[in-house]
Amino acid sequence: MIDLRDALTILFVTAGVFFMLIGSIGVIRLPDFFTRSHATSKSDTLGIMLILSGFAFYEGLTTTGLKLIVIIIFIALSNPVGSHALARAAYFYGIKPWFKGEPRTHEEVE
Amino acid sequence: MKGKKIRNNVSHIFLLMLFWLVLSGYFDLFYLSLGLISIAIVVLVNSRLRNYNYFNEQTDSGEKIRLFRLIYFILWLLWEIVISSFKVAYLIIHPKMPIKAGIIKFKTNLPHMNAKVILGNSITLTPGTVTIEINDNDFLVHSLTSENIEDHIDHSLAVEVAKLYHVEPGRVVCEEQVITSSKEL
Repeated sequence: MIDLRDALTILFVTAGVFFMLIGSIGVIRLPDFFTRSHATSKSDTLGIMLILSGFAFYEGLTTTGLKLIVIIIFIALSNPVGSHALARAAYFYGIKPWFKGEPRTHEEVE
Repeated sequence: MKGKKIRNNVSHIFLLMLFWLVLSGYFDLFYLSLGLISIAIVVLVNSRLRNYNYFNEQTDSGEKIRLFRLIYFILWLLWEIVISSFKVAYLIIHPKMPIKAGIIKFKTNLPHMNAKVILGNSITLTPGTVTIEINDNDFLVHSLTSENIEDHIDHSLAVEVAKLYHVEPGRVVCEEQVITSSKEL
């Protein structure tokens, strides 16, 4: 007999793993730096947050669970700042974003 | 000004104490006193830093963030993140990958710096959009699908952020401009 806590844990961790997988596929498939940064930072943020909240459900309201919640808050605050910094640095370095119907720039370089 | 400084420090101490309790998990007198000593050192070292004004404009012009609205905003944002994550997942898995990358420029008239930081972070946190640059009131946002931002970032997200500060904000976003080819850049 699976109780509710286990069911929630399984649901959240599975969803988190799914979004992590999507992020990894996106990094390979998407055409340029900016679109890849969408895949790597966004899907991964949600994936990590879902996995950690699954663990937090499993732990319940213990100190370990509270630590997991602190980690979730930290990731939710710091991850967008990091991906913003990367995108901003790339933009000012002069990396041109890819637009539909144009060649992929790094293929020209090779 | 003095009272505000003290309140700032007291809330800082309270948060640090909570953090200490969560991290240590012991409630003995010994561990509590160790925590108090470390908190005192941290507050002493950081007090000048916390009261320093980083921006030229006055960041705390008496406008308070509405706390209940903030809770609603966080839940609403989480829901938005889940929805748009599924949209991005669909785009990535789809065999033809129907993405249509674009850059959106727009101006906002948000009240002050904190609001802009919240808006920028929320835009980046929502899958499919990344804030590239915030310069005064100009935002530069890269998005995976340009329809994506037309219908839900530009209007609802910025309006929700403005509602954190005012009950009825006027027009928040103006001069939107979508760039979809490198000639227009």
